[in-house]
Amino acid sequence: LKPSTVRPTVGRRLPLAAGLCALAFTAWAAANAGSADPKLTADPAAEYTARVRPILAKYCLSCHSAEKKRGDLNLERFDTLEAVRKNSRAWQAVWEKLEAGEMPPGKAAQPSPEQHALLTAWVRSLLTAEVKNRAGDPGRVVVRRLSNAEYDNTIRDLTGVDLRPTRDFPADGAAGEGFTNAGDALVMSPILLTKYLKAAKEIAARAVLLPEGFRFSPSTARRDWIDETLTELRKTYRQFDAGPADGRLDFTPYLTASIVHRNDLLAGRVTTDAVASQDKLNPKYLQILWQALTDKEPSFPLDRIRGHWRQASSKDVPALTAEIGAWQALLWKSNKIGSYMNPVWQDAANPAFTELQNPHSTNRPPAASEGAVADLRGADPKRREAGFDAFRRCFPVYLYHAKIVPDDEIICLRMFFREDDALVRLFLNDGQKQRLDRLWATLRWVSQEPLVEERNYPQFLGFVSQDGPGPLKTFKTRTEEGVHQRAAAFTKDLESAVPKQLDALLDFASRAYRRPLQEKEKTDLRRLYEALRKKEMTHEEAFRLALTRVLASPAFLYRIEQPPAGKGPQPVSPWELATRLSYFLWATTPDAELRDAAAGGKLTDADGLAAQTGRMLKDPRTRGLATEFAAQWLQVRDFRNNKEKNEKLFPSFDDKLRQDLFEETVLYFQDLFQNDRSVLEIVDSDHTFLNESLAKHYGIPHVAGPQWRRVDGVKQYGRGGVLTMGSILTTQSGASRTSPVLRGNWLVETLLGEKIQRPPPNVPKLPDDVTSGDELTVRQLTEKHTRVAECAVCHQRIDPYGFALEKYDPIGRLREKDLGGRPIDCAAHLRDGTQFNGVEGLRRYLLDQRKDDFLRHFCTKLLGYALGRSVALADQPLIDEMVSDLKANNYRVSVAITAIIRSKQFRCHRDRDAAGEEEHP
Amino acid sequence: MKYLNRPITRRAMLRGLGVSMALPWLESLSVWADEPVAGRSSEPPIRLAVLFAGNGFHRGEWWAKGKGKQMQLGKVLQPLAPFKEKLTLVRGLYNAEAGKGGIHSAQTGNLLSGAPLEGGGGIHSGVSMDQLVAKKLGQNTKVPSLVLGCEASMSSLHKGYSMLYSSHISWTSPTTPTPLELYPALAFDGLFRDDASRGDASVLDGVMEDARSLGGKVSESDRRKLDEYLTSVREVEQRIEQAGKNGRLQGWRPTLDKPNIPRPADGVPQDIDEHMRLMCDILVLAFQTDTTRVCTLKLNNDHSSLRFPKLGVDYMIHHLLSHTDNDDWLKVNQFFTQQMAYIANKLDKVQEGERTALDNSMILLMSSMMEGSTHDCTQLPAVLMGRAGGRLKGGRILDYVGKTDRRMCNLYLAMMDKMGLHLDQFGDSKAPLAEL
Repeated sequence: LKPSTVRPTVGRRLPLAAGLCALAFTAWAAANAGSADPKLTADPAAEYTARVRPILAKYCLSCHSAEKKRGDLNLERFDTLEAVRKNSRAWQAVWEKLEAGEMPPGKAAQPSPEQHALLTAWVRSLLTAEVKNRAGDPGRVVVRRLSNAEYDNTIRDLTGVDLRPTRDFPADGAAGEGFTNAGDALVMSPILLTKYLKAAKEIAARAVLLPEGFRFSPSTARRDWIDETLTELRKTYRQFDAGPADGRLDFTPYLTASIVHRNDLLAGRVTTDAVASQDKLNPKYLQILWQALTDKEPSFPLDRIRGHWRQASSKDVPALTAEIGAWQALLWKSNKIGSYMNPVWQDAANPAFTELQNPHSTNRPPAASEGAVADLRGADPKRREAGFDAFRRCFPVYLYHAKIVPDDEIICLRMFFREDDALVRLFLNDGQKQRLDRLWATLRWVSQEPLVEERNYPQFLGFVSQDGPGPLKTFKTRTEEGVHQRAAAFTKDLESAVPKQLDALLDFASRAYRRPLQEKEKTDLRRLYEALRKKEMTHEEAFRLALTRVLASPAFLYRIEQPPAGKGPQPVSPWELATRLSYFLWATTPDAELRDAAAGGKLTDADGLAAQTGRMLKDPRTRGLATEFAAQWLQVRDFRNNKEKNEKLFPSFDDKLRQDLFEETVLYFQDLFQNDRSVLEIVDSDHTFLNESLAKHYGIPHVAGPQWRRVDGVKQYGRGGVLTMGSILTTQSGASRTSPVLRGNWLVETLLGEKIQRPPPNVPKLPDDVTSGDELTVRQLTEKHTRVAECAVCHQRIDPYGFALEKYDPIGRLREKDLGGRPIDCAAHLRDGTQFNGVEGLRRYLLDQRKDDFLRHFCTKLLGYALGRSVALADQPLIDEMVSDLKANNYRVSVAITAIIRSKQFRCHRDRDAAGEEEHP
Repeated sequence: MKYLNRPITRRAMLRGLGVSMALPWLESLSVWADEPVAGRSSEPPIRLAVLFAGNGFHRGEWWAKGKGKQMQLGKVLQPLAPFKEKLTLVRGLYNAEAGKGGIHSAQTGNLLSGAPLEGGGGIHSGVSMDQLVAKKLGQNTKVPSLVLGCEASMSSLHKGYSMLYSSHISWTSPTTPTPLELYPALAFDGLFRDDASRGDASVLDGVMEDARSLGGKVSESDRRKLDEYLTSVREVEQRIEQAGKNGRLQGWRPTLDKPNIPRPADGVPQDIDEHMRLMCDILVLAFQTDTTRVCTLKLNNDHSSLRFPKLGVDYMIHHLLSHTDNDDWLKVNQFFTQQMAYIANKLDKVQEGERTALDNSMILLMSSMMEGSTHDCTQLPAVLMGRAGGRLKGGRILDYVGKTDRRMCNLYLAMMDKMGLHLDQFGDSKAPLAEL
């Protein structure tokens, strides 16, 4: 690349910005090693003033003055070398233009070849020196407010409830490398602050106070909080007992097991535990049942049952079940519990012996036990009772009161009724019992049952007074004190929970701020709570407001980093690093494990950092990286709101299809990150993610059902990689027709990182028939338009790629003919003579000839996203490293991510005094 | 006592008697006051509105000829015909800075400031004219300014320039585009609902304290960013303080003291027609109730993707349509000027003493390029409506085509002058447009 020989030639493929950087860095290194360039003197400052600046003044400043700033470039302000060094970014652009032979433009006065060579060599040596000096500079990172997506994700992970409060927030702007996580574009205003405040209050209104702290609910209503607890309680009961949902004991499977395995058990060849585990039965109950059936102690009616059991084979199980069931019916009864009159629900029934004998009595024992009655005759009533009890202990009708909420009286004082002693005794171990106890304690807390009962007690008394003064008096005597005592105890409990709840609030604040709280912050929060209590607010009100403050605090809303003062780049603190890591990989707040790693100092060593990175990349929260980085990079993050199609032409382009197309892209990238695939799969792969409706849209058979899955072998249907993704093909189309210009421009800018000029002023108008398109294909219309020389310069660079994708219609479906029924020509002829056909040809071309450009651009964008700023000259060595690491490791995406996380840029910040040093182009 | 020095209005009297309702225009009875208080004029205030339409207008149909009643209007401006005598067409002005960056976003982000725009993924413009006026007049009204939009902002970069620029003409600070309210219901609430609940002030005090104590430990540039936060907290606090003082006395009383339209439904209306209509209603209501005197309404984005099914133009989005210059583009252009006509019509029916609310307003409709097909921003379409309380004649065309000084900021300086904000310079201008 001898600068003197590089002059504008229209046919030459323009050097590409991204490619140039690669080229640039290696070229600089080479230039440093052996100088083939014009002689530069040893004093660069003098060199600039004496030789370089005069060339600039003569050939450049007429356009690139402070006043005109053509092309956004002001060269006039660089009066000294010092000024130049402060803004190397501008000079990178200058170098690119010089190397490309684009400047000065053809019509303007041209420097001599020697002057051109001197200028180019000088800029090159400047940049070489700058890269060397600045390599690894953490750069200027403006404090970042959480973006809307990050805020939503963070709230989801902090509260466990996916509230998405930013639904009616203003959209975030993009800055840096084009992502919404760059501080510059994340603004604050009174309107937005009001929205954050409102959101914080709405979130705080969902805090459910608990004895040990608090949790969040999707709802603000206590009624719903109670229901959530009830649901949890019911679910837990069902986990412990797989029997009928109404809480009935289903002993039949146990009976069956005891018969089937009887001989082995009797012979001691197996244990009841082994049988239970094999037959998926509760071991505790099987053991109890076995004990009851094999016990030698005489007992009635168990003895009769034992007798039948000993001779039974598995076919006799129904008869045996019926016999036990009949005895249950005889020996158990249920009480109404709503009225408080009855302390228990499942109660022992005690049939009188005479009743048992009476052939007309409904209480007669079952036929199978006919003979048993005879056995009872003359038996000692005490022994009889003991036998009944032994039966009852093993065969309750119900294990627990599954309704929980009593509904057997018109007016009921009790809110909930717990009776699960049978379950606990027959089925549960200690841990399970404690879990139930905790849930019941929560229910009591959330429902405030003792207070509600006390409040409703007088009214309830009024109601039951119609039962007559006698029973009422008994009832009142029996219950009144208890009601008041329970309420008083509960009030006391409420008070004693306050310190624990405030501790939990501080704990929450620490998670929200993503670091341990400072003492002052703790005091401030407690003080706010106290102050509000003094304003006669209830504990709950004051607590919620303190929580609101946490959620509206700058420490939560902003990712604040506190670099030390003036010593050059400094490592970020472990907490700041954890935050950088989790918002990079997940677009959300650090989880418990990452916080532990930060607290334990594990992020400061390379292995610990690598371990967390590896773990986090396998986590489904990489969906955040897929939507916020990948989808945003490819310009489809807002695809679900794409309402840009002609509905008459594309009636199927509805919300569902938009959702499907978006989901495909997100799942594709989530899989790429989670399963550490090759970044080349972005361009070329044989798989994608589909559900039935999207498969139908794409015309891919054998995909049934709404669930998403990976589908392989999709190339035969024209899919695989981003080039064939409906979301992208659709976005880069017009409302009614395809647009090779948009698609080509997207490919060139977004995948390859070339910079396309703004259209020249006074672009000739498109041919009028471009919308009617009755005779010409879109391709022909585009070609007609771009034949104009002024337009051709750029369009030749972009349109061929779009032509190669013409077999995809405006909503991404494969087609053989266009909307007018004309055959499609998807041959592409590039300016450098390369030719290929269709998407297959395009893929090959990208992988064979443009792989480096693609890799470089991908790395640039990924780095820009990770750092939340524009990529600078000082980052070029890191990008080089990422690209070469990728090449050496089968292009696995984790390699590029790891290189970023290892880098000085990611792990350090500028010192406090240097942090804001800005480069103005 | 300040209180005693204020003129008393009949409305204030009625309110004292427990009567409070929407009353027809009542001139203030300054005879009852001992003496007029400085800054408490009995004249109705002047209101400023800026309406923005993206992607320019039809190249052949944005024109006017003649003056007063005899004025002839091109097809795009035709909907404004009933208000010819209150209309001022300004031709040929432009922002030099807008031509220096890329197309679209770099032409729009500095439309109301004329400031240089930072490219390369950065965000830096200038404080816009409407926000300067809001800062000056803001303390007189409950809300300093109303910034509305009918199309969601865009989150991407276009040719190195953030699309924030394409979506925001109003800027609170050089680094802060004023966020737009997109939801009619929320805009309405922002004006008329005071839901500051018990304890809000304590929470705000608290977070202010948090921001202050953090401020000392961050870099200078981060501190500037946190200042955005602090300023916002302070303004919201003031807002809460003022919410309770609605009945304060002043010389002039608006003709309406509470909304005469229902709160719009939640969410963004399905039809763009309805969306724009509601936003226009809210603008009129805000002026009529004197809840604010400055409003910026972004009807769409530059690089807009709106479609107009009700006009039978749903085959193409606004931006692509702007490249065609066909009849449908004309139809869509007229739809935008109709919005201005709608506002003018409503304001003109509000009688405020001898003048109408339209006479007391100054409404600017503009775009960031003359026409979309060429992205031509070497002259900008701009039309003013209303008489700025008599300071604007109307029925005129001010033509600067071919003149040497064609700075858009000259117009802004002149407009700010009429709003009572007298600046020596603004953007690239040092002198107000003399002819206005």
